Amino acid sequence: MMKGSQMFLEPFSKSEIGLGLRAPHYSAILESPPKQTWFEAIAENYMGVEKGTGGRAIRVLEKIRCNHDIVLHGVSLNIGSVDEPSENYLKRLKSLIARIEPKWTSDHLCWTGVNGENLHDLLPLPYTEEVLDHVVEKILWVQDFLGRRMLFENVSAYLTFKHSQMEEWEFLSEISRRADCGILLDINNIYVSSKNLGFNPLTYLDHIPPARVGQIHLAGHSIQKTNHGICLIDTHDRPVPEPVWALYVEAVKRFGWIPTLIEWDASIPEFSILAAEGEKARNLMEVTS
Amino acid sequence: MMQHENPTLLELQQWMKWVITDPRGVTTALTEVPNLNLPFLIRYLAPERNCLGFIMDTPPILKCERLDIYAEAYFTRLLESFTADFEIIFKVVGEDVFSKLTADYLKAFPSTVPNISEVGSHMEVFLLGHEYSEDLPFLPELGRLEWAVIQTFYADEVPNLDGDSIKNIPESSWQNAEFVIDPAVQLFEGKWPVDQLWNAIDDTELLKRIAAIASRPTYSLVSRRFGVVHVEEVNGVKFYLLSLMKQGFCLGDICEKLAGLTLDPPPLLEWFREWIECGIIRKIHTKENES
Repeated sequence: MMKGSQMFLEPFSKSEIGLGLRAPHYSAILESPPKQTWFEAIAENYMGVEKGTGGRAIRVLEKIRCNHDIVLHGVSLNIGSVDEPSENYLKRLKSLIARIEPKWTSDHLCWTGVNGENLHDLLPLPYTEEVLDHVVEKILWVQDFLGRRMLFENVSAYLTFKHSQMEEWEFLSEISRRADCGILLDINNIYVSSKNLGFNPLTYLDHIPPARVGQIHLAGHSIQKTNHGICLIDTHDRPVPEPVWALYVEAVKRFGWIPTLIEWDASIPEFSILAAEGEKARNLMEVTS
Repeated sequence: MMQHENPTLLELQQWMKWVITDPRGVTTALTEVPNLNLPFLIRYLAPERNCLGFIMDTPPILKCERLDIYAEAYFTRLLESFTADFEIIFKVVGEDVFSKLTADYLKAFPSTVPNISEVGSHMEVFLLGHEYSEDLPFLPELGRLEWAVIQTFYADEVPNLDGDSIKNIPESSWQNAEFVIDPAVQLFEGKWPVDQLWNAIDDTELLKRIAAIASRPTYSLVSRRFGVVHVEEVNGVKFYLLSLMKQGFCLGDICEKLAGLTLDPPPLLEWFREWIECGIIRKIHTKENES
């Protein structure tokens, strides 16, 4: 059996690490390009607006592209919605892909809006056979439109549905098999959901087909008190916490070397702090895989 | 339909969209019937199918609290984006009013776009009918200006005008020459000098300018230089000339339209030079370079 990332063409070299590209770091990256680093850009941040696809952001991305590999990560594909895929969105995504030539493109296994509205949030799906069929059909259509295979990420969840017929890991695995897409495994999201919904994160990892895993995400989360308990919130606003590092080690043991990326989206620190997190991931990967 | 049947994906998504975007909050949305006189009532009305019973009970946290996490994330993300994109309106009205204004905006114009920076495209139309514009009548124009800045920021990029190409234009061709204006350029016409608010360097300066603001015809040029957006007031003749160029009139026609508009002939050559230098004019079409 192939191990993780082998299903994708042109994987990165094993010494490279990925960092989420965010505007406050543009200058630091351009002035002193970090070695052995690739970047993941949020696709929507570089799509521009309806009548314009230029501006500083895309120009900076093109400059960074000269020194580093780029992957694109979307947040508005809305693959789990009952809505038809948005042609406008896909055309803009396709145009961005043609311009940036990312190593791969990913989005989330969730829904973000319905009836034409975009809620700009990653919302959970019921894991039923009906939904499985629907999402597989949409992914196949989108991959055909874009002319490339995509990766889909497990999202953090704060609730589940009674009428789900399978676990999330079963749903994710089956989606990847039937739609022939990759999995972007977010270790922090698995941890957050496991605490919020009460499952064993190792069971999750045990059921993911290694050959389908093309990328790993690591990030920090926060703790929110409610009137009746605490919830973990996927805030990406702090360093990766120890339990997530520990789960990452377990993932590497199971999947081998996988391109790994650190996300940090709020309370963004100096670039050196983000890079140090990347270095930690690189070291753990080397020691474990 | 029998209510014990599982909801369809459409029913579930429509219900969840309603419950997490109801401006009254999740708990109120689930327990109180909205006042039928509310504006944008559709945002408050529950879909026919109630899907609360299909959310798993996972003690100790209640279902409402779980839905609240999504509701809070929805509003916070859009509020943060609006605060960054409509920075001057935020400063003018203050944090609390801006938060209410954002909630009201989302009722009127929920997002239908992928890039969160595009959500505010209807800000002027929205503010025209908003109660806050009664006390601050320049607010709709400020909304239009801040949206224009976003559009300028993201506008397509075209190459700079090559100086040599101007030298090669024969004198006889200038009469029919047409000027291509940078797609990032926006010509902003209004009844309030909101460009002064946009250019206020700090909060104290902004407050002074708000206090002094008085309605008068205002013409502004919104442009992008080295990736940075600039807003500057221009005189009426300059504005008219730029709008003629943007509409594609040739130099001969432009001069004809400008003749007699002012007592002194405008310094066209000087303006053209300035606009070429700062990238406002990106190309000059003549018979020669077209063939």
